[in-house]
Amino acid sequence: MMRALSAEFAKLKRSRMILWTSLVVVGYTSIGLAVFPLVQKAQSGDVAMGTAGIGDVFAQAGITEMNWATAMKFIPMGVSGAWGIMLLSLVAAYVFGRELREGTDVATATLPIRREFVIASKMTVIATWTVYLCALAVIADVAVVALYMGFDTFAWSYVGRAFAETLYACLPIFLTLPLVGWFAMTRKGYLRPMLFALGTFMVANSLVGLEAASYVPWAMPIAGVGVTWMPVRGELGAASWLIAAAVFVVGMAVVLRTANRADLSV
Amino acid sequence: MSADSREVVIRTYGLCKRFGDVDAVRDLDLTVRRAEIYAFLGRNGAGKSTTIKLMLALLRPTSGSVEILGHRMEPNALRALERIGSMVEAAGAYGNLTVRENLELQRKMLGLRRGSWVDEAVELCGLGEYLDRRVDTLSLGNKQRVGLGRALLNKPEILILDEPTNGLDPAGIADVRALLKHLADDRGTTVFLSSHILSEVQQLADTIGIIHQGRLLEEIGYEELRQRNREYLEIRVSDLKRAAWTLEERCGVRDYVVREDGALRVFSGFDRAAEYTKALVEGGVSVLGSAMSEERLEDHFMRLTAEDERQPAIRG
Repeated sequence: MMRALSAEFAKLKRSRMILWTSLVVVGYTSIGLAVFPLVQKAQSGDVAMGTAGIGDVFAQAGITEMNWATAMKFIPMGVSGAWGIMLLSLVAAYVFGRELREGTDVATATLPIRREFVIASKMTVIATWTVYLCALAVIADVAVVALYMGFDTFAWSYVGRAFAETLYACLPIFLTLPLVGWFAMTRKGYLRPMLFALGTFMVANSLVGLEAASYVPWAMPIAGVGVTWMPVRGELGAASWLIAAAVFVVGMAVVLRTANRADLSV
Repeated sequence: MSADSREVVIRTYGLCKRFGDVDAVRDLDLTVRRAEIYAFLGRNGAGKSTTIKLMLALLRPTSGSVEILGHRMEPNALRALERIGSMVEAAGAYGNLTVRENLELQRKMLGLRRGSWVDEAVELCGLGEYLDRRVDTLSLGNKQRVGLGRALLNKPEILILDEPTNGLDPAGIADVRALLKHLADDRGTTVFLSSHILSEVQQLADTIGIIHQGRLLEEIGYEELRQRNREYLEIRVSDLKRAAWTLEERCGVRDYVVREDGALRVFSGFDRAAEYTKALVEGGVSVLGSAMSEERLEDHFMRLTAEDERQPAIRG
Protein backbone atom coordinates (compact mmCIF):
# COMPACT_ATOMS: atom_id res chain seq x y z
CA MET A 1 0.00 0.00 0.00
CA MET A 2 2.82 2.44 0.88
CA ARG A 3 4.45 1.76 -2.50
CA ALA A 4 1.28 2.70 -4.31
CA LEU A 5 0.73 5.73 -2.12
CA SER A 6 4.25 7.02 -2.55
CA ALA A 7 4.00 6.53 -6.30
CA GLU A 8 0.65 8.31 -6.55
CA PHE A 9 2.11 11.37 -4.86
CA ALA A 10 5.26 11.22 -6.96
CA LYS A 11 3.15 11.31 -10.13
CA LEU A 12 2.02 14.82 -9.21
CA LYS A 13 5.47 16.33 -9.49
CA ARG A 14 5.38 19.31 -11.85
CA SER A 15 1.70 18.63 -12.51
CA ARG A 16 0.01 21.76 -13.83
CA MET A 17 -3.32 20.63 -12.46
CA ILE A 18 -2.17 21.55 -8.97
CA LEU A 19 -1.43 25.06 -10.20
CA TRP A 20 -4.75 25.40 -12.02
CA THR A 21 -6.84 24.25 -9.09
CA SER A 22 -4.92 26.56 -6.76
CA LEU A 23 -5.50 29.48 -9.12
CA VAL A 24 -9.23 28.77 -9.23
CA VAL A 25 -9.48 28.80 -5.44
CA VAL A 26 -7.38 31.93 -5.08
CA GLY A 27 -9.22 33.57 -7.99
CA TYR A 28 -12.61 32.78 -6.52
CA THR A 29 -11.57 34.08 -3.12
CA SER A 30 -10.23 37.26 -4.67
CA ILE A 31 -13.73 38.02 -5.94
CA GLY A 32 -14.35 38.74 -2.28
CA LEU A 33 -12.11 41.79 -2.65
CA ALA A 34 -14.79 43.38 -4.80
CA VAL A 35 -17.87 41.84 -3.21
CA PHE A 36 -16.94 42.18 0.44
CA PRO A 37 -17.67 45.90 0.83
CA LEU A 38 -20.97 45.52 -1.03
CA VAL A 39 -22.13 42.68 1.17
CA GLN A 40 -20.96 44.60 4.21
CA LYS A 41 -22.92 47.67 3.17
CA ALA A 42 -26.11 45.90 2.05
CA GLN A 43 -26.18 43.64 5.05
CA SER A 44 -25.67 46.36 7.65
CA GLY A 45 -28.15 48.68 5.89
CA ASP A 46 -30.92 46.06 5.74
CA VAL A 47 -30.47 45.03 9.33
CA ALA A 48 -30.47 48.63 10.50
CA MET A 49 -33.69 49.35 8.61
CA GLY A 50 -35.27 46.08 9.60
CA THR A 51 -36.42 45.43 6.06
CA ALA A 52 -36.90 41.98 4.70
CA GLY A 53 -34.02 41.38 2.33
CA ILE A 54 -30.58 39.94 2.17
CA GLY A 55 -29.89 41.23 5.67
CA ASP A 56 -32.71 39.13 7.13
CA VAL A 57 -31.45 36.04 5.45
CA PHE A 58 -27.98 36.69 6.81
CA ALA A 59 -29.35 37.49 10.26
CA GLN A 60 -31.18 34.16 10.37
CA ALA A 61 -27.84 32.51 9.78
CA GLY A 62 -26.31 34.46 12.65
CA ILE A 63 -24.54 37.03 10.45
CA THR A 64 -25.73 40.32 11.85
CA GLU A 65 -22.55 42.28 11.36
CA MET A 66 -19.38 41.91 9.39
CA ASN A 67 -16.47 40.91 11.56
CA TRP A 68 -13.73 38.32 11.41
CA ALA A 69 -16.02 35.56 12.68
CA THR A 70 -18.79 36.18 10.15
CA ALA A 71 -16.50 37.04 7.25
CA MET A 72 -14.76 33.67 7.56
CA LYS A 73 -18.10 31.88 7.22
CA PHE A 74 -18.07 32.75 3.55
CA ILE A 75 -15.30 30.23 2.85
CA PRO A 76 -17.37 27.05 3.35
CA MET A 77 -20.26 28.75 1.57
CA GLY A 78 -17.95 29.23 -1.39
CA VAL A 79 -17.31 25.50 -1.38
CA SER A 80 -20.97 24.55 -1.37
CA GLY A 81 -22.23 27.09 -3.88
CA ALA A 82 -19.26 27.66 -6.14
CA TRP A 83 -16.08 25.65 -6.55
CA GLY A 84 -16.63 22.59 -4.37
CA ILE A 85 -18.28 20.12 -6.73
CA MET A 86 -16.66 21.24 -9.97
CA LEU A 87 -13.13 21.63 -8.72
CA LEU A 88 -12.98 18.50 -6.60
CA SER A 89 -14.55 16.55 -9.45
CA LEU A 90 -11.85 17.86 -11.75
CA VAL A 91 -9.24 16.65 -9.27
CA ALA A 92 -10.86 13.20 -9.14
CA ALA A 93 -11.21 13.04 -12.92
CA TYR A 94 -7.54 13.94 -13.27
CA VAL A 95 -6.24 11.50 -10.68
CA PHE A 96 -8.25 8.59 -12.06
CA GLY A 97 -8.40 9.60 -15.71
CA ARG A 98 -4.80 10.52 -16.38
CA GLU A 99 -3.71 6.87 -16.51
CA LEU A 100 -6.00 6.29 -19.47
CA ARG A 101 -5.11 9.63 -21.02
CA GLU A 102 -1.35 9.12 -20.78
CA GLY A 103 -1.50 5.45 -21.67
CA THR A 104 -0.10 4.32 -18.33
CA ASP A 105 -3.23 2.38 -17.38
CA VAL A 106 -1.95 -0.92 -18.75
CA ALA A 107 1.49 -0.55 -17.16
CA THR A 108 -0.17 0.27 -13.83
CA ALA A 109 -2.46 -2.73 -14.04
CA THR A 110 0.49 -5.06 -14.67
CA LEU A 111 2.37 -3.93 -11.60
CA PRO A 112 2.66 -6.37 -8.74
CA ILE A 113 0.49 -4.13 -6.58
CA ARG A 114 -3.07 -4.95 -5.64
CA ARG A 115 -5.42 -2.82 -7.68
CA GLU A 116 -7.41 -2.07 -4.54
CA PHE A 117 -4.30 -0.40 -3.13
CA VAL A 118 -3.90 1.71 -6.24
CA ILE A 119 -7.52 2.87 -5.93
CA ALA A 120 -7.15 3.57 -2.21
CA SER A 121 -3.97 5.54 -2.92
CA LYS A 122 -5.74 7.61 -5.53
CA MET A 123 -8.52 8.41 -3.06
CA THR A 124 -5.88 9.38 -0.49
CA VAL A 125 -4.30 11.75 -3.00
CA ILE A 126 -7.70 13.31 -3.69
CA ALA A 127 -8.35 13.67 0.03
CA THR A 128 -4.98 15.37 0.53
CA TRP A 129 -5.60 17.64 -2.44
CA THR A 130 -9.01 18.56 -0.98
CA VAL A 131 -7.49 19.46 2.37
CA TYR A 132 -4.83 21.53 0.59
CA LEU A 133 -7.44 23.47 -1.39
CA CYS A 134 -9.45 24.10 1.77
CA ALA A 135 -6.35 25.41 3.53
CA LEU A 136 -5.53 27.59 0.53
CA ALA A 137 -9.06 29.01 0.49
CA VAL A 138 -8.80 29.89 4.17
CA ILE A 139 -5.40 31.53 3.73
CA ALA A 140 -6.59 33.53 0.73
CA ASP A 141 -9.72 34.61 2.56
CA VAL A 142 -7.75 35.70 5.60
CA ALA A 143 -5.74 37.93 3.29
CA VAL A 144 -8.89 39.45 1.76
CA VAL A 145 -10.61 40.07 5.10
CA ALA A 146 -7.42 41.51 6.58
CA LEU A 147 -7.34 44.06 3.78
CA TYR A 148 -10.67 45.45 4.94
CA MET A 149 -10.59 44.85 8.67
CA GLY A 150 -6.95 44.70 9.59
CA PHE A 151 -5.76 42.27 12.22
CA ASP A 152 -7.08 44.17 15.28
CA THR A 153 -9.90 41.75 16.02
CA PHE A 154 -8.26 38.72 14.42
CA ALA A 155 -8.05 35.47 16.37
CA TRP A 156 -6.60 32.13 15.25
CA SER A 157 -9.77 30.47 16.44
CA TYR A 158 -11.59 32.05 13.49
CA VAL A 159 -9.13 30.44 11.12
CA GLY A 160 -9.46 27.08 12.83
CA ARG A 161 -13.24 27.19 12.74
CA ALA A 162 -13.28 28.33 9.09
CA PHE A 163 -10.94 25.50 8.13
CA ALA A 164 -13.06 22.96 9.99
CA GLU A 165 -16.27 24.23 8.40
CA THR A 166 -14.69 24.20 4.95
CA LEU A 167 -13.63 20.59 5.43
CA TYR A 168 -17.15 19.86 6.70
CA ALA A 169 -18.58 21.33 3.48
CA CYS A 170 -16.13 19.32 1.37
CA LEU A 171 -16.72 16.00 3.07
CA PRO A 172 -20.06 15.10 1.43
CA ILE A 173 -18.63 16.14 -1.94
CA PHE A 174 -15.55 13.98 -1.36
CA LEU A 175 -17.80 11.02 -0.65
CA THR A 176 -19.29 11.37 -4.14
CA LEU A 177 -15.92 11.51 -5.92
CA PRO A 178 -15.46 7.76 -6.52
CA LEU A 179 -18.36 8.03 -8.96
CA VAL A 180 -16.52 10.79 -10.82
CA GLY A 181 -13.40 8.62 -10.77
CA TRP A 182 -15.39 5.76 -12.24
CA PHE A 183 -16.57 7.94 -15.12
CA ALA A 184 -12.96 8.95 -15.72
CA MET A 185 -11.86 5.30 -15.80
CA THR A 186 -14.37 4.17 -18.36
CA ARG A 187 -13.39 6.41 -21.25
CA LYS A 188 -10.42 8.53 -22.20
CA GLY A 189 -10.74 12.23 -21.47
CA TYR A 190 -12.27 14.39 -18.79
CA LEU A 191 -15.48 15.36 -20.61
CA ARG A 192 -17.74 12.63 -19.23
CA PRO A 193 -16.76 13.02 -15.58
CA MET A 194 -17.01 16.79 -15.83
CA LEU A 195 -20.43 16.64 -17.47
CA PHE A 196 -21.50 14.39 -14.63
CA ALA A 197 -20.09 16.93 -12.16
CA LEU A 198 -21.87 19.77 -13.92
CA GLY A 199 -25.14 17.87 -13.71
CA THR A 200 -24.76 17.25 -9.99
CA PHE A 201 -23.70 20.88 -9.46
CA MET A 202 -26.90 22.08 -11.14
CA VAL A 203 -29.05 19.66 -9.16
CA ALA A 204 -27.37 20.75 -5.93
CA ASN A 205 -27.93 24.45 -6.63
CA SER A 206 -31.54 23.87 -7.57
CA LEU A 207 -32.08 22.59 -4.03
CA VAL A 208 -30.94 25.76 -2.27
CA GLY A 209 -33.38 26.54 0.53
CA LEU A 210 -35.17 23.18 0.25
CA GLU A 211 -35.17 20.51 2.93
CA ALA A 212 -34.43 17.88 0.30
CA ALA A 213 -30.91 19.28 0.05
CA SER A 214 -30.06 17.46 3.29
CA TYR A 215 -30.59 14.09 1.62
CA VAL A 216 -28.75 14.64 -1.64
CA PRO A 217 -25.00 14.30 -1.00
CA TRP A 218 -24.07 16.86 -3.67
CA ALA A 219 -26.41 19.39 -2.01
CA MET A 220 -25.54 18.52 1.58
CA PRO A 221 -23.00 21.37 1.91
CA ILE A 222 -25.79 23.74 0.90
CA ALA A 223 -28.00 22.32 3.63
CA GLY A 224 -25.15 22.42 6.12
CA VAL A 225 -23.60 25.84 5.59
CA GLY A 226 -25.65 27.43 2.83
CA VAL A 227 -24.39 29.43 -0.10
CA THR A 228 -23.03 32.95 -0.21
CA TRP A 229 -26.37 34.49 -1.13
CA MET A 230 -28.31 32.32 1.31
CA PRO A 231 -26.30 31.28 4.33
CA VAL A 232 -27.95 28.86 6.71
CA ARG A 233 -27.10 27.51 10.11
CA GLY A 234 -28.11 23.97 9.47
CA GLU A 235 -27.07 20.61 10.77
CA LEU A 236 -26.85 17.46 8.79
CA GLY A 237 -28.47 14.54 10.51
CA ALA A 238 -27.42 10.91 10.65
CA ALA A 239 -29.71 10.05 7.75
CA SER A 240 -27.87 12.53 5.52
CA TRP A 241 -24.49 11.07 6.39
CA LEU A 242 -25.76 7.56 5.90
CA ILE A 243 -26.88 8.45 2.39
CA ALA A 244 -23.54 10.10 1.64
CA ALA A 245 -21.69 7.08 3.00
CA ALA A 246 -23.83 4.79 0.86
CA VAL A 247 -22.98 6.82 -2.25
CA PHE A 248 -19.30 6.49 -1.34
CA VAL A 249 -19.58 2.74 -0.88
CA VAL A 250 -21.40 2.33 -4.17
CA GLY A 251 -18.84 4.55 -5.90
CA MET A 252 -15.91 2.59 -4.51
CA ALA A 253 -17.59 -0.69 -5.41
CA VAL A 254 -18.01 0.27 -9.07
CA VAL A 255 -14.47 1.64 -9.25
CA LEU A 256 -13.03 -1.55 -7.77
CA ARG A 257 -15.20 -3.71 -9.97
CA THR A 258 -14.01 -1.83 -13.02
CA ALA A 259 -10.39 -2.12 -11.94
CA ASN A 260 -10.63 -5.80 -11.14
CA ARG A 261 -12.79 -6.73 -14.06
CA ALA A 262 -9.60 -5.93 -15.91
CA ASP A 263 -11.20 -5.26 -19.28
CA LEU A 264 -10.80 -1.65 -18.26
CA SER A 265 -7.83 -0.99 -16.11
CA VAL A 266 -6.88 1.77 -13.73
CA MET B 1 10.85 -35.67 -32.90
CA SER B 2 12.53 -35.26 -29.52
CA ALA B 3 10.58 -33.57 -26.78
CA ASP B 4 11.91 -30.20 -25.63
CA SER B 5 13.04 -30.64 -22.03
CA ARG B 6 13.22 -26.94 -21.19
CA GLU B 7 10.84 -25.72 -18.50
CA VAL B 8 7.53 -24.38 -19.75
CA VAL B 9 7.08 -20.87 -18.35
CA ILE B 10 3.96 -19.73 -20.19
CA ARG B 11 1.09 -21.99 -21.07
CA THR B 12 -2.41 -21.20 -22.19
CA TYR B 13 -5.21 -23.73 -22.03
CA GLY B 14 -8.05 -23.42 -24.50
CA LEU B 15 -7.96 -19.67 -24.22
CA CYS B 16 -10.98 -17.89 -25.67
CA LYS B 17 -12.04 -14.27 -25.66
CA ARG B 18 -15.25 -13.07 -27.19
CA PHE B 19 -16.20 -9.42 -27.62
CA GLY B 20 -19.90 -9.37 -28.40
CA ASP B 21 -20.29 -11.45 -31.54
CA VAL B 22 -16.60 -11.45 -32.35
CA ASP B 23 -14.28 -14.26 -31.33
CA ALA B 24 -11.02 -12.39 -30.85
CA VAL B 25 -9.16 -15.46 -29.54
CA ARG B 26 -10.33 -19.02 -30.06
CA ASP B 27 -9.20 -22.11 -28.24
CA LEU B 28 -5.59 -21.01 -28.00
CA ASP B 29 -3.02 -23.42 -26.60
CA LEU B 30 0.39 -21.81 -26.39
CA THR B 31 3.58 -23.16 -24.90
CA VAL B 32 6.56 -20.94 -24.22
CA ARG B 33 9.75 -22.37 -22.79
CA ARG B 34 12.37 -20.77 -20.59
CA ALA B 35 15.00 -18.54 -22.21
CA GLU B 36 13.53 -18.73 -25.65
CA ILE B 37 12.43 -15.89 -27.86
CA TYR B 38 8.91 -16.64 -28.91
CA ALA B 39 7.59 -14.57 -31.79
CA PHE B 40 3.84 -14.36 -31.97
CA LEU B 41 2.97 -13.50 -35.54
CA GLY B 42 -0.26 -12.37 -37.03
CA ARG B 43 -1.82 -9.77 -39.21
CA ASN B 44 -3.36 -6.65 -37.71
CA GLY B 45 -6.47 -7.73 -35.84
CA ALA B 46 -5.45 -11.40 -35.73
CA GLY B 47 -5.71 -11.50 -31.93
CA LYS B 48 -2.11 -10.89 -30.87
CA SER B 49 -2.76 -7.98 -28.51
CA THR B 50 -5.84 -9.64 -27.07
CA THR B 51 -3.81 -12.75 -26.32
CA ILE B 52 -1.13 -10.69 -24.60
CA LYS B 53 -3.72 -8.84 -22.56
CA LEU B 54 -5.23 -12.17 -21.54
CA MET B 55 -1.79 -13.38 -20.53
CA LEU B 56 -1.25 -10.35 -18.32
CA ALA B 57 -4.75 -10.54 -16.82
CA LEU B 58 -5.66 -7.25 -18.43
CA LEU B 59 -8.59 -9.05 -19.95
CA ARG B 60 -10.65 -11.79 -18.44
CA PRO B 61 -10.92 -14.84 -20.70
CA THR B 62 -14.33 -15.96 -21.86
CA SER B 63 -13.05 -19.47 -21.24
CA GLY B 64 -9.72 -21.17 -20.75
CA SER B 65 -6.82 -19.98 -18.65
CA VAL B 66 -3.24 -18.75 -18.65
CA GLU B 67 -0.47 -20.05 -16.46
CA ILE B 68 2.79 -18.15 -16.12
CA LEU B 69 5.65 -19.43 -13.99
CA GLY B 70 3.23 -21.85 -12.41
CA HIS B 71 0.74 -19.15 -11.42
CA ARG B 72 -2.72 -18.87 -12.88
CA MET B 73 -3.05 -15.37 -14.27
CA GLU B 74 -5.91 -13.29 -13.00
CA PRO B 75 -6.13 -9.71 -11.72
CA ASN B 76 -3.80 -9.35 -8.74
CA ALA B 77 -1.69 -12.38 -9.68
CA LEU B 78 1.05 -10.53 -7.86
CA ARG B 79 3.56 -13.35 -7.52
CA ALA B 80 3.73 -13.86 -11.24
CA LEU B 81 3.66 -10.15 -12.05
CA GLU B 82 6.70 -9.59 -9.84
CA ARG B 83 8.72 -11.77 -12.22
CA ILE B 84 7.33 -10.42 -15.48
CA GLY B 85 8.21 -7.30 -17.42
CA SER B 86 5.75 -6.15 -20.02
CA MET B 87 5.02 -3.48 -22.54
CA VAL B 88 1.61 -3.57 -24.17
CA GLU B 89 0.60 -1.38 -27.10
CA ALA B 90 2.05 2.12 -27.02
CA ALA B 91 4.30 2.51 -24.03
CA GLY B 92 2.72 5.04 -21.71
CA ALA B 93 4.68 7.26 -19.37
CA TYR B 94 3.90 10.26 -17.22
CA GLY B 95 4.54 13.24 -19.47
CA ASN B 96 5.13 15.70 -16.63
CA LEU B 97 8.01 13.60 -15.30
CA THR B 98 11.49 13.14 -16.72
CA VAL B 99 12.75 9.81 -18.00
CA ARG B 100 14.67 9.31 -14.76
CA GLU B 101 11.62 10.16 -12.65
CA ASN B 102 9.46 7.77 -14.62
CA LEU B 103 11.93 4.97 -14.08
CA GLU B 104 12.31 5.87 -10.40
CA LEU B 105 8.52 5.83 -10.09
CA GLN B 106 8.42 2.37 -11.60
CA ARG B 107 11.20 1.25 -9.26
CA LYS B 108 9.18 2.45 -6.27
CA MET B 109 6.03 0.74 -7.46
CA LEU B 110 7.91 -2.48 -7.99
CA GLY B 111 9.16 -2.22 -4.44
CA LEU B 112 12.83 -2.33 -5.52
CA ARG B 113 15.43 -0.84 -3.24
CA ARG B 114 17.61 1.98 -4.48
CA GLY B 115 20.53 0.67 -6.46
CA SER B 116 21.65 -0.02 -9.96
CA TRP B 117 18.23 -0.97 -11.29
CA VAL B 118 17.54 2.32 -13.04
CA ASP B 119 21.12 2.78 -14.32
CA GLU B 120 21.09 -0.66 -15.83
CA ALA B 121 17.74 -0.17 -17.57
CA VAL B 122 18.97 3.17 -18.89
CA GLU B 123 22.10 1.59 -20.29
CA LEU B 124 20.28 -1.36 -21.84
CA CYS B 125 17.75 0.88 -23.57
CA GLY B 126 20.14 3.65 -24.58
CA LEU B 127 18.31 6.29 -22.60
CA GLY B 128 21.38 7.99 -21.15
CA GLU B 129 21.14 11.23 -23.08
CA TYR B 130 17.41 11.63 -22.37
CA LEU B 131 17.48 10.98 -18.64
CA ASP B 132 16.61 14.50 -17.57
CA ARG B 133 14.17 15.28 -20.31
CA ARG B 134 10.46 15.33 -19.67
CA VAL B 135 8.78 12.41 -21.36
CA ASP B 136 6.24 14.60 -23.17
CA THR B 137 9.12 16.15 -25.12
CA LEU B 138 10.40 12.79 -26.44
CA SER B 139 9.77 11.25 -29.83
CA LEU B 140 7.49 8.22 -30.13
CA GLY B 141 10.51 5.96 -30.56
CA ASN B 142 12.17 7.24 -27.42
CA LYS B 143 8.94 6.92 -25.47
CA GLN B 144 8.96 3.32 -26.62
CA ARG B 145 12.46 2.97 -25.18
CA VAL B 146 11.22 4.37 -21.86
CA GLY B 147 8.46 1.76 -21.90
CA LEU B 148 11.04 -0.92 -22.56
CA GLY B 149 13.21 0.44 -19.75
CA ARG B 150 10.27 0.25 -17.36
CA ALA B 151 9.61 -3.33 -18.43
CA LEU B 152 13.23 -4.31 -17.76
CA LEU B 153 13.58 -2.60 -14.42
CA ASN B 154 12.87 -5.62 -12.23
CA LYS B 155 15.21 -7.87 -14.25
CA PRO B 156 12.23 -9.98 -15.29
CA GLU B 157 12.40 -13.69 -15.96
CA ILE B 158 9.79 -13.21 -18.65
CA LEU B 159 9.44 -10.24 -20.92
CA ILE B 160 6.12 -9.87 -22.71
CA LEU B 161 6.17 -7.27 -25.45
CA ASP B 162 3.42 -6.23 -27.79
CA GLU B 163 4.86 -4.86 -31.04
CA PRO B 164 7.97 -3.55 -29.25
CA THR B 165 9.50 -1.86 -32.27
CA ASN B 166 6.50 0.30 -33.11
CA GLY B 167 7.64 3.82 -33.77
CA LEU B 168 11.34 2.99 -33.81
CA ASP B 169 13.63 3.92 -36.68
CA PRO B 170 15.70 1.18 -38.37
CA ALA B 171 18.63 1.75 -36.01
CA GLY B 172 16.27 1.58 -33.03
CA ILE B 173 14.78 -1.66 -34.33
CA ALA B 174 18.26 -3.14 -34.64
CA ASP B 175 19.06 -2.00 -31.08
CA VAL B 176 15.92 -3.64 -29.71
CA ARG B 177 16.67 -6.82 -31.61
CA ALA B 178 20.20 -6.91 -30.18
CA LEU B 179 18.89 -6.17 -26.70
CA LEU B 180 16.35 -8.99 -26.79
CA LYS B 181 18.95 -11.39 -28.09
CA HIS B 182 21.30 -10.34 -25.30
CA LEU B 183 18.59 -10.79 -22.65
CA ALA B 184 17.69 -14.25 -23.88
CA ASP B 185 21.23 -15.50 -24.51
CA ASP B 186 23.12 -13.95 -21.62
CA ARG B 187 20.50 -13.61 -18.91
CA GLY B 188 18.19 -16.46 -19.73
CA THR B 189 15.22 -14.13 -20.04
CA THR B 190 12.23 -15.59 -21.83
CA VAL B 191 10.97 -13.14 -24.41
CA PHE B 192 7.46 -13.34 -25.80
CA LEU B 193 6.87 -10.73 -28.44
CA SER B 194 4.14 -10.08 -30.92
CA SER B 195 4.77 -8.63 -34.31
CA HIS B 196 3.34 -8.34 -37.76
CA ILE B 197 6.73 -7.49 -39.24
CA LEU B 198 8.04 -10.89 -40.26
CA SER B 199 11.52 -9.77 -41.27
CA GLU B 200 11.96 -8.41 -37.77
CA VAL B 201 11.43 -11.74 -36.03
CA GLN B 202 13.03 -13.88 -38.69
CA GLN B 203 16.43 -12.91 -37.34
CA LEU B 204 15.47 -13.28 -33.73
CA ALA B 205 12.96 -15.95 -32.86
CA ASP B 206 13.58 -19.43 -31.53
CA THR B 207 9.93 -20.35 -31.76
CA ILE B 208 7.20 -18.91 -33.89
CA GLY B 209 3.49 -18.96 -33.21
CA ILE B 210 1.22 -17.91 -36.03
CA ILE B 211 -2.21 -16.62 -35.11
CA HIS B 212 -4.91 -15.91 -37.63
CA GLN B 213 -8.47 -14.83 -36.94
CA GLY B 214 -7.96 -15.67 -33.28
CA ARG B 215 -6.70 -19.23 -33.85
CA LEU B 216 -3.19 -20.49 -33.41
CA LEU B 217 -2.39 -22.00 -36.79
CA GLU B 218 1.06 -23.22 -35.98
CA GLU B 219 3.65 -23.22 -33.25
CA ILE B 220 7.02 -24.25 -34.55
CA GLY B 221 10.70 -23.91 -33.72
CA TYR B 222 12.44 -21.64 -36.16
CA GLU B 223 15.15 -24.18 -36.83
CA GLU B 224 12.54 -26.79 -37.60
CA LEU B 225 10.83 -24.33 -39.88
CA ARG B 226 14.08 -23.69 -41.70
CA GLN B 227 14.71 -27.38 -42.10
CA ARG B 228 11.20 -27.81 -43.32
CA ASN B 229 11.52 -24.88 -45.68
CA ARG B 230 9.52 -25.97 -48.56
CA GLU B 231 10.50 -25.68 -52.13
CA TYR B 232 7.91 -24.40 -54.49
CA LEU B 233 7.30 -23.88 -58.12
CA GLU B 234 6.44 -20.29 -58.85
CA ILE B 235 4.41 -19.78 -62.00
CA ARG B 236 3.84 -16.23 -63.19
CA VAL B 237 0.63 -15.98 -65.17
CA SER B 238 -1.58 -13.45 -66.94
CA ASP B 239 -4.83 -14.38 -65.16
CA LEU B 240 -4.51 -15.63 -61.59
CA LYS B 241 -8.14 -16.59 -61.12
CA ARG B 242 -8.34 -18.65 -64.25
CA ALA B 243 -4.92 -20.17 -63.57
CA ALA B 244 -5.98 -21.28 -60.10
CA TRP B 245 -9.17 -22.78 -61.45
CA THR B 246 -7.29 -24.54 -64.22
CA LEU B 247 -4.69 -26.06 -61.89
CA GLU B 248 -7.35 -27.30 -59.49
CA GLU B 249 -9.77 -28.65 -62.08
CA ARG B 250 -7.42 -30.02 -64.70
CA CYS B 251 -4.40 -31.06 -62.66
CA GLY B 252 -5.98 -31.66 -59.24
CA VAL B 253 -3.54 -29.28 -57.54
CA ARG B 254 -4.61 -28.30 -54.05
CA ASP B 255 -1.32 -27.35 -52.35
CA TYR B 256 -0.79 -23.89 -53.78
CA VAL B 257 -1.17 -20.22 -52.92
CA VAL B 258 -2.13 -17.26 -55.03
CA ARG B 259 0.20 -14.31 -54.66
CA GLU B 260 -0.82 -10.71 -55.14
CA ASP B 261 2.16 -10.13 -57.38
CA GLY B 262 0.67 -12.17 -60.23
CA ALA B 263 2.22 -15.52 -59.34
CA LEU B 264 1.01 -18.90 -58.16
CA ARG B 265 3.13 -21.00 -55.86
CA VAL B 266 2.69 -24.74 -56.09
CA PHE B 267 4.21 -26.75 -53.26
CA SER B 268 4.04 -30.27 -54.63
CA GLY B 269 4.18 -32.27 -57.84
CA PHE B 270 7.21 -30.46 -59.21
CA ASP B 271 7.81 -33.31 -61.68
CA ARG B 272 4.53 -32.32 -63.28
CA ALA B 273 5.69 -28.77 -64.03
CA ALA B 274 5.43 -29.29 -67.77
CA GLU B 275 1.91 -30.67 -67.36
CA TYR B 276 0.87 -27.59 -65.37
CA THR B 277 2.22 -25.24 -68.00
CA LYS B 278 0.46 -27.15 -70.75
CA ALA B 279 -2.83 -27.16 -68.86
CA LEU B 280 -2.61 -23.46 -68.21
CA VAL B 281 -1.91 -22.62 -71.84
CA GLU B 282 -4.73 -24.85 -72.98
CA GLY B 283 -6.95 -23.15 -70.43
CA GLY B 284 -6.26 -19.78 -72.03
CA VAL B 285 -3.77 -18.54 -69.46
CA SER B 286 -0.49 -17.01 -70.60
CA VAL B 287 2.45 -18.38 -68.64
CA LEU B 288 4.94 -15.54 -68.22
CA GLY B 289 7.54 -17.65 -66.48
CA SER B 290 8.13 -20.40 -63.94
CA ALA B 291 10.93 -21.23 -61.55
CA MET B 292 11.74 -23.34 -58.50
CA SER B 293 12.38 -21.46 -55.26
CA GLU B 294 12.48 -21.90 -51.47
CA GLU B 295 9.96 -20.70 -48.93
CA ARG B 296 10.87 -17.94 -46.48
CA LEU B 297 9.07 -17.14 -43.24
CA GLU B 298 6.94 -14.58 -44.98
CA ASP B 299 5.94 -17.10 -47.61
CA HIS B 300 5.21 -19.68 -44.96
CA PHE B 301 3.06 -17.21 -43.08
CA MET B 302 1.16 -16.14 -46.17
CA ARG B 303 0.53 -19.70 -47.25
CA LEU B 304 -0.65 -20.79 -43.83
CA THR B 305 -3.06 -17.91 -43.38
CA ALA B 306 -4.33 -18.25 -46.94
CA GLU B 307 -4.98 -21.94 -46.40
CA ASP B 308 -6.84 -21.12 -43.22
CA GLU B 309 -9.06 -18.68 -45.05
CA ARG B 310 -9.90 -21.33 -47.60
CA GLN B 311 -11.15 -23.70 -44.91
CA PRO B 312 -13.99 -21.92 -43.12
CA ALA B 313 -16.19 -24.99 -43.17
CA ILE B 314 -13.64 -27.11 -41.30
CA ARG B 315 -13.31 -24.49 -38.58
CA GLY B 316 -17.05 -24.57 -38.07
